[in-house]
Amino acid sequence: MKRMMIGVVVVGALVAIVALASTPRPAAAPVAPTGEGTLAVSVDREIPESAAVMLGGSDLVVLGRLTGTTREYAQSSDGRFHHLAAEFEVVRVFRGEPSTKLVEVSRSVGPKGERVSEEGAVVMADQRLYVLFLERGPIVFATVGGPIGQFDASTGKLRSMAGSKASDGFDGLTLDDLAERISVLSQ
Amino acid sequence: MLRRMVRSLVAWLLAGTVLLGPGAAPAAADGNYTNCSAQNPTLHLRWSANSQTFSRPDTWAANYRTALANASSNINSTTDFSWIRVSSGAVAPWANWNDPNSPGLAGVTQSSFNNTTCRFTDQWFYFNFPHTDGDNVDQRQCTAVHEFGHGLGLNHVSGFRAMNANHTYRCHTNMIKTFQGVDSAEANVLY
Repeated sequence: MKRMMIGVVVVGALVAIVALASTPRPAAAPVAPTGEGTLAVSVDREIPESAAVMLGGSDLVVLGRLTGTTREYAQSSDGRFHHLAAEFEVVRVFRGEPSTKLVEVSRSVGPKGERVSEEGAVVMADQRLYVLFLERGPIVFATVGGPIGQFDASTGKLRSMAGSKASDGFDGLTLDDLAERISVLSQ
Repeated sequence: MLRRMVRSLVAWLLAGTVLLGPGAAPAAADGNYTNCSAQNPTLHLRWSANSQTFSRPDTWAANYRTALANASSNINSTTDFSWIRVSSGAVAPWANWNDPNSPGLAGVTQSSFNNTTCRFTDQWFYFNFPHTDGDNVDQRQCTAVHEFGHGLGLNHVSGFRAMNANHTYRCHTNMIKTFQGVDSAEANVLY
């Protein structure tokens, strides 16, 4: 009787272990490179339909380093969100002609200074290199399609920070490949 | 000894049942809802009750007031969820995002929630006036119904839907200013 019960316990445990192992595991969530506080928001915006459309909407395409210098140019009417001009040092230009070595790009922060993450997109970190598809705004530049127009380039290859049809067209390219792709798409 | 073994068996089986619980939810439609966390992707965020309050400044122009009234009325009549306007003390106030540098941005929703219960606790809705001031009342309603949809727990989707992610497609190329059948059906899964 005892032996039978031990067998039942072992089988029960095995069933539970197998069942647990087959439970679907979530995909890893994008993480902000510096681990800084972020505030997720759902944003309703115009989205470029393709890589060519995103490029067509770009006044500048640059490789830039986020310096960490910001200035506030506006805030939401309830005072909860602050819209900042974040400074990038231009390292390489792929399209357009920036008038200075530094360009300012809009970025928003939340009530406690948290960087705003649109739909779980990766948030940019200071001193890191990014390729930016930029459109000229009335105050500073803005990335085309929000996070869709931003790519992490710290490894020398473009890594999309928010999946979309438009960003897929540039994802994984080296910087030289990007220059070539832009040249082809611009013809 | 025998009693202890039986207790062990029951404990193991119970542990398996509890841990497997969230994984048993249908996976196919998970992307259409706001998830509680990446660690728990099948547990959907929603309000604990199927009726919540919103407010908007009384000073807003008539077109904005009409757009919000029409959008909330549409959701209230096509789903089991209701957005009720109050003049103060709302859990979900509307304000102006006010970013003149992002003219392509029309609306924003930000939610706070209890990450143990996976239930919303507060919400903030925004029109970006630098964009929506140039829109007509239908386009403003199109933005409002989309944000209200996020507010009840729906994610971005593709296709001819009020929750389509692309603002240009939804509110300029087409005019999807009301919940479509699938939008309502998905809302009713949550409530």
